Amino acid sequence: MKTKLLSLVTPLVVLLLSAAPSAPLFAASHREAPITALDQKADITDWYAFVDPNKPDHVVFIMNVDPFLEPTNGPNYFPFDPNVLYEMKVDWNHDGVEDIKFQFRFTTQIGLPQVFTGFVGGLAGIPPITALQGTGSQGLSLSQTYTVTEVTNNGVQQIGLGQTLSAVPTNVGPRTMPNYAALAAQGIYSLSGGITVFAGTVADPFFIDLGAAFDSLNFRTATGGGVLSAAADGDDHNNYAPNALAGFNVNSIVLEVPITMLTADGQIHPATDANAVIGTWATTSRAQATVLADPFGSLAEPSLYGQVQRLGNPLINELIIGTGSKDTFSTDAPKNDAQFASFFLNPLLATIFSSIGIPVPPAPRTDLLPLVQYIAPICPGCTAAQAGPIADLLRLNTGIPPTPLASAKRLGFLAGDDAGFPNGRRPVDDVVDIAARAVAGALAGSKYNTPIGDGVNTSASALPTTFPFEAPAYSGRQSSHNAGPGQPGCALQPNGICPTN
Amino acid sequence: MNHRVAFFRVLVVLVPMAVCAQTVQTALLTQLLQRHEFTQALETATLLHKQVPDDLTIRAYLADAYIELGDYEEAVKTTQALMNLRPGNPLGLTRAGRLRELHGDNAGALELLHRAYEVTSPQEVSDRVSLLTRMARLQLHSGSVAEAETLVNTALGTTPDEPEAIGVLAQVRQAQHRNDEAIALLEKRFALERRAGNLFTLAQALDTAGQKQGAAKAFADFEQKALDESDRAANANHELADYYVDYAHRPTQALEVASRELRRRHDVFTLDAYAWSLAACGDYVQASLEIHKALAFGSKDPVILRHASEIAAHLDGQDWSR
Repeated sequence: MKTKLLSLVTPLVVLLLSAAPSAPLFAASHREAPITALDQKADITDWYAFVDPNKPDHVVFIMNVDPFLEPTNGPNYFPFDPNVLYEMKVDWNHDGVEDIKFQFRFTTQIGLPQVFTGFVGGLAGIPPITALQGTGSQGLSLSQTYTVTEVTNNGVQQIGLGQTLSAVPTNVGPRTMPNYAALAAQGIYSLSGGITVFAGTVADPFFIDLGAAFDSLNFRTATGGGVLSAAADGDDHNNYAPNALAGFNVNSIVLEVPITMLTADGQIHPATDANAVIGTWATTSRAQATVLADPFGSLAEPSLYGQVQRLGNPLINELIIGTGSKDTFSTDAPKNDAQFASFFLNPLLATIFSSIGIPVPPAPRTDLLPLVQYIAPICPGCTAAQAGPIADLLRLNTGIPPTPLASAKRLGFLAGDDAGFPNGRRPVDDVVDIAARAVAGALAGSKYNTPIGDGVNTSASALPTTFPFEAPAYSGRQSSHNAGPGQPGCALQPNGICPTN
Repeated sequence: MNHRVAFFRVLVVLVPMAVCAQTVQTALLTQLLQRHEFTQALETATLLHKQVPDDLTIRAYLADAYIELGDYEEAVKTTQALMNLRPGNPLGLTRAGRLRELHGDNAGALELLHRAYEVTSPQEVSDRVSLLTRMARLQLHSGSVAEAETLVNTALGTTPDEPEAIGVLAQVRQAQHRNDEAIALLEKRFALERRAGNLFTLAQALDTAGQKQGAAKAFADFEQKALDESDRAANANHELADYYVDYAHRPTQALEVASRELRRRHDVFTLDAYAWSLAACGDYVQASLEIHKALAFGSKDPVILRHASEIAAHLDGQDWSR
């Protein structure tokens, strides 16, 4: 036989089996799969999509990447990766395939190549950094600009052509950046067509008791061990356990676009109309070597980019998908999610809940289908034919009026706040509690609505109610992870410290 | 059936729910591929891939099965996903290198194999020798005899008795017109690995060197050995068909052997053997159709191209001849 089977067989079996990846049970969306744990810059931590309460004819998308950024971590801090293609995608005709997407590409400039740190100001004759461009920006030794590209079936066009879009650097400290909030505000750009964009480092708005979750769901006694008291459950503003994200930054891309850009016919529709509902997700991709030299050949139609991660609904990959499938889930497209249907319809976590006495509905869990199909209650106007394939998309009914953020409920849809998760997702939504309750059967009826919760009910940073809806980055110089007295959200607790036992 | 395959099959039946079931099935898959039972390997790999889609080794084996069966479209898809899951992983790079080679892109194949070599630990001696040998063969097919010699000598410097590397060095010596050395190397290889295919190469070398008597004896031994293996999965049916056409001038037997192999797989080499046998039987029209299939993926294998050219010449296909 002329062809000899590749000899790289048996030895590499041993090699790879011994290096079999493992992944935690869940970790928000931070490092949720082996592939993203290895590629932090391409790790999407959270994906948000909601109708802007201040502009109800606009939708806000927030794509956060690069988890657990320690504010003190100089000298180069946290640039976006110029080799990663960041994309926000929208399906408007319910087939699980993007109809419009927005691409973000970053470029790094080194302004002071002889200086040993990325940012300097108020020292050695270099003025403090007070601007992203021009006078006042001399101390930005490391700076980044980016482009925004809109891609539809009709073509590709760069948004904001002619404008220089600067990414907001992290908050180094008061000597270098004496008015960081004002500096960060300069990173908000109004583009043509009613589009607004921001990119930069912010305080991570996500909140979770990660330590308890990682320790095999060993939630704090003060929170009822994972089943909240009525008082804690009804509290949207205070925490009863430590928030692991407190004091950490994250890189964020925020885009606000008119709803008319996101619907099939370019119109705004009432909530009862199927056309009001869109499916959204974010992806990160890297240029990859292709099998064949001509990537546009007919065979397999490989792309120049290989997807590293996607994120639609929060916690799907963490809570639902088995470890042996997480990378495949991350790198595949939502339209192919039928292959994961067994995970969706019979989640292992539900079995675990049942084993510890929490009532859960029997499998198959059709009550979870609203998370992966276009059906009521998120899409009350959808017929069976419009349900689309099983696809992990963050679905948003753009016809449901937004709730003013000051009165938004952390439990979103489950608390009667229809503008919250799983109808889209806002930074204020407590998706850990909502998702856990959904897995336990909350969507199947009140019988299954056990008040599961980690006791962390609110973000460590005060979430702004206006664009970009995230707080400026924590200061490196003034940094603290707020584990002690004064931790945000813990004011009601003895000595202002959320209990850790 | 090979004892190890039988053993693993029994294990799979006995412990289907055990924790080690996947490991056992992966071991079975390895055995199936090594024994060239590609259809069963594809079935097993597909099943395992559904159970653990993130397992790179199983994906690599799935790609191997597709490649050997000639389903190149699925092989490319599987290999691309394998490379995307862990960029730069040697399992993906080696499969992609093989596909590029079959696609006629020797330079591209060399690039990937070189990268695979760089990321393979020096402690993985057999893997590195295999990669050096493959790179040497590609260099030789590209006309870079000196580079091929350097690479294969590096491989043999580590593992002097590696049969595949000895075979490539013999090809290098033939390209350098050092036929006696080539024959000595091929004799050594056959002594180390008494496969019919190795005997055929030796017989060809003897024939080329004008040692007609020795060649006749080697061809006769080869035919007997190849016929003994012909119904097994791991066989020398490609070589046997070539022998019947080019040396024994028994085209009907060539077509019978090639047809039998074609029932198992549709890779470019089987399609070529079938087309060449058809041509030898005078059916140039069908031969042309079959050689088109062999060339469709882009192969620039010199033997296949020569066959295609001669078939086209008989059909007055000037374009093909060029």
